[in-house]
Amino acid sequence: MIQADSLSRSYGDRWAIRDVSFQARPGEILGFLGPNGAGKTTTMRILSGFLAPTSGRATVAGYNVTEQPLEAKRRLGYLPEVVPLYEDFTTREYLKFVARLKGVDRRKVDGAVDQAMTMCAVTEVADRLLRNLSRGYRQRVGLAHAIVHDPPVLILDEPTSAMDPRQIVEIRNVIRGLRGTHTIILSTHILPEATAVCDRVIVINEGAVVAVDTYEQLAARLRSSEKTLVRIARPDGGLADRLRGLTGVLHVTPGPAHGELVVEAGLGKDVREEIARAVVGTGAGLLELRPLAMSLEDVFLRLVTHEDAPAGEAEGPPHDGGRPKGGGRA
Amino acid sequence: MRGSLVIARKELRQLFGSPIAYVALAMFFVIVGFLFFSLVGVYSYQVLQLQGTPPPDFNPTRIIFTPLYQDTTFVLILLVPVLTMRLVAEEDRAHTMELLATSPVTNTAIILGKYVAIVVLFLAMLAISAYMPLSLALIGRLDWGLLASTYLGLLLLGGAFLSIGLFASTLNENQIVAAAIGFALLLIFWVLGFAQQASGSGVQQVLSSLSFASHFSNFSGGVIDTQDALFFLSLAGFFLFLGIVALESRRWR
Repeated sequence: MIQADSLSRSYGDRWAIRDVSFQARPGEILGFLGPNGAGKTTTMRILSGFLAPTSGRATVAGYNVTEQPLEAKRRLGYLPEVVPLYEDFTTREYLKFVARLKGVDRRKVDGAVDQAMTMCAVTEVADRLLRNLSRGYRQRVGLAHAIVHDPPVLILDEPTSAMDPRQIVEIRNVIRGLRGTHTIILSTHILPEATAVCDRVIVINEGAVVAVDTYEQLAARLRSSEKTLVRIARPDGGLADRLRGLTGVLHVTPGPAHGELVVEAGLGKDVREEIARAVVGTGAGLLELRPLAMSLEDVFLRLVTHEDAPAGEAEGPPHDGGRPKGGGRA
Repeated sequence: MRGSLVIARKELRQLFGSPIAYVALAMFFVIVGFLFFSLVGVYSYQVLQLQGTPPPDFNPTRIIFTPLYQDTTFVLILLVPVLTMRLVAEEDRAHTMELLATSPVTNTAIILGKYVAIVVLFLAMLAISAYMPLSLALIGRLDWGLLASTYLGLLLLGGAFLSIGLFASTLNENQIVAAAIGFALLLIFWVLGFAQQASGSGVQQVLSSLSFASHFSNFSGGVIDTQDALFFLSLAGFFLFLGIVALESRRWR
């Protein structure tokens, strides 16, 4: 539904994005994840037809956004980073204008506006001036304006910014409700959001795609070892050395708190049973034993900080498509 | 085309929903009203001096309305940038241009929609200004042909002015800067009329054919020349085109 083929965009001699390629399959929610200034907004502006790419091509619902812009725009709902509101309009007036602008049939305008307002829970502010709305409401009116003409493709640039936690949950539910019937790209720098609503995640950093995959697979791909956290009551007494001697254990390092040890074993090896036996055998007093999963924060940081990558490689665009640069295992 | 109408309707809603239109109209009618008042005064003084034996070419329309509408064009130079300055600049400032630019409407439709709206406001202004000749028509005989030609000239001149102001508004997101650019552009065309008197014959012809004043003076003298009409129409078309190009070029910057 959405396809980007090696999109590049420069401002003067600075490249905002370079060689960005990905596609969104019909009905999926694709998360666009990256630190501020990574090129998320530039990519979305190109997809929406607001900016022209310096090179490369983008298609929305089968229409090239530079060659058939009107056809592509008809099928697209776009919520920019700054919600484009006419401050001196009421919510209803504004949404009516947007519906007509997007080409909704004259007789269906009222129905479309009512439906969008209900979905985004802004009916109670229908007759208030937009300038008097709180930021959470403004953001929701923004979402309503993006879906008022019921487009098959939605591009949402940070849809949940400036909302309180309860509103975030509501908006996520709205977005999840659109899954299947709509293809959605949403950008965010809030990591849990990507796991909460997205089917797949694109990680972008310094204008280049670093990884495209589901969150679980990204985490699995980046994991180089199985980590287990051991918490014991009496830490002294050479337990670390004993654990190091177990078969399959690679490293034993002190954990974040006193009395904690992190045991790293080779990938695919479950050494929890052996650890338990060893700890109980020494009488150190086993309090806790749990596998350490990689949080999305870890995944994200691993992807956007190239600690393992050689300096030269970090500069250019990745030529291997979705492979992580900094990852240990591919 | 449908997109233009949707945008024009929105612009009119914004123009008349905010103080801009009313302040501009009030400013216009205070100044022009005062001019009208003083010209009527001058006319009555002349009538008294002639003691009821006017020469055959003594014509109230020429003595009152020809200078009145010529001065009006100067008022328009000041007023038009104020009317047009927010048209595009405000959309840029409020980031609503991103909505228009990602909607299924062309840049041509956006510019034309805005132009139609501001021309409608201008027409309303011209229509209200007709109170001046109509009030005199109650007590005297006016030359309606001359007035019609003057109003046609004002309409064409206004159309060209508004397109210049609209173009200026696409250049900067600050309304004040947009107004200043519009004012400067209009003033350049005005000043060309002064410069022609001081230059050689070849240059003089070029300058005079580019000057608003020389083209408008034909209309206000009762002469409708297609050359003058074409001058204003092509000027309007040219600056609308520049406005469309200015919007188009943004996608590449």
